[in-house]
Amino acid sequence: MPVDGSTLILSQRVRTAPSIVLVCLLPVLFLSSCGADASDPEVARHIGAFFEAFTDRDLSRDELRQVTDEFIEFHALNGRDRDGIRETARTFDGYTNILREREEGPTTLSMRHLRIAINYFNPDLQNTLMLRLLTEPDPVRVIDVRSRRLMTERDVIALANIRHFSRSQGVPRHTALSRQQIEAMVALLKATVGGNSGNMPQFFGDAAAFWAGVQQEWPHLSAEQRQLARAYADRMWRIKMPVEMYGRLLGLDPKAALSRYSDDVSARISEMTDLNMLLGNLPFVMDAIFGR
Amino acid sequence: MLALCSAVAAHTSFADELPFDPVVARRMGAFYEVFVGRKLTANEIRRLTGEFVGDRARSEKSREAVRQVAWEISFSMVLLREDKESPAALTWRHGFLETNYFRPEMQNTLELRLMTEPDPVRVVDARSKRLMTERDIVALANIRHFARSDGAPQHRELTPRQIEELASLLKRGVAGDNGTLPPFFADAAAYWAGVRQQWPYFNVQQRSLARAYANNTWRTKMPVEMYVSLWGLDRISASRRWTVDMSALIRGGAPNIGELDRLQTTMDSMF
Repeated sequence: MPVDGSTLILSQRVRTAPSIVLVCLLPVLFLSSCGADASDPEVARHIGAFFEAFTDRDLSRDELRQVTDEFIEFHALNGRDRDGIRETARTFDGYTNILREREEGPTTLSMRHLRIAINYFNPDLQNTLMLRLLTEPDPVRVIDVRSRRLMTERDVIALANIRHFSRSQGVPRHTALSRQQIEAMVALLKATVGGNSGNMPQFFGDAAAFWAGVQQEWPHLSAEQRQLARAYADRMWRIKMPVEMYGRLLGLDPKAALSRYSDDVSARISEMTDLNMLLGNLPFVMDAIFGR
Repeated sequence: MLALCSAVAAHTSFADELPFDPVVARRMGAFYEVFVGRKLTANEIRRLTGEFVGDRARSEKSREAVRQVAWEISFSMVLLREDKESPAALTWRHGFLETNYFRPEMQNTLELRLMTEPDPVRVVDARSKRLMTERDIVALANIRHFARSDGAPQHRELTPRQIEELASLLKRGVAGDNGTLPPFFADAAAYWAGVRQQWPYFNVQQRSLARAYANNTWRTKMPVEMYVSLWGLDRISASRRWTVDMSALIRGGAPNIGELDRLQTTMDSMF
């Protein structure tokens, strides 16, 4: 049974409605799907739901067909058969559920960032609608191809706020940046860590999630944990934080938190992560934004 | 791109003798479209793929290994597309071109023609295996002007006649036993982009070093971090480049082109 875009949208809306409504709508869903044109209804259902949750908007029928076709072709070219492709599409439900059910916080932001970073540098996804949709809500502003790290606009804004927070004594308060301030930050970041003058520190790509985590967790942190969070905001990998803090501040599950912790341990050992000649300029620009 | 590759895969009649792989076609097609800055025709993608797969098959690479090579090459397309005027992108382009230009198996291939399409090779030094593109020549003249001025780096285009004149002097300078192309000449476009990009963020000392290096090249001691910034190099490549300059400094000299004075006088007269 093929599924079209409108069916997908309906099916999402009824998930929040009483089950009796769902039963009544089933024939409607079936009928409305008859004129559908996505090449694989099952893939369309899973992938469409993911991209609608990711972009927080409905996909048009053409968009749904295109992302479905791209998804199938991408995985087929990489050797998956139709069952394998459907299985892969089903794995996206986990992300869709997080995006739908969780409030926007460190977990959703970390997940969003990871989805973008994994796909953004994949040569096989260049010029695809899938990639355009992934970067639609929060555009990529600074890339470092060498380290395969990137910063979205939200990371850029968060980084400036983190800097301000790390130099203050108070609670973490978010300040919006003007377009001009964002562009000034982006220009400097491109010259400094955009692969032109040294690698991008891992923390820069985590900035939005970390900032959301600090704000969300602040009321629940002990005095010592608050001090650690502020110190980490200032000196990043140089500060030893317990794994549990990585989990809380970046919204990571224990395994991912341990992996992120290990990255910082490696950085401490090599002490090479951000020894970047121009990195020293960045704090001045960020401090100027907050009038320091 | 996906649709284009499907179309290419369907049209097997015009170059049946060339091996075809849809994954390689997609990767290399997308890469060269960014590298060249234009859409490739279906015929070009088919031929490009055939050459690429055939070349690697001769060195007994498996299909997966060939696809992996294509993936690694196409990985740089994000840098070339989004940061194409940056020193990192220009350094990558130049390294890619130089590596392939002197490989005998690349001669007369469409791949090499595409590599040289956006910025033609103007000076070739087979002895050092270095080359200069048109952009390097224009950059070298601008660097010379910047080195002898007090102001910020300002780019000026050269007329085709001026480029021709400089290319001819450079060719003569490396012809026969006349001389060798110095590394800096081949790095000129990236260096010039680096100086202009980093200038607003450099402090007085860094600006002074960048200008001194433009004037005296290897004779000026620069920290490795400046090599990273000015050429957009990774740390290891920057250290290697720094070592080349240090070796010249220790030896008290480095190979240079013949009739350098004449080249410099000609460049000075253009500004």
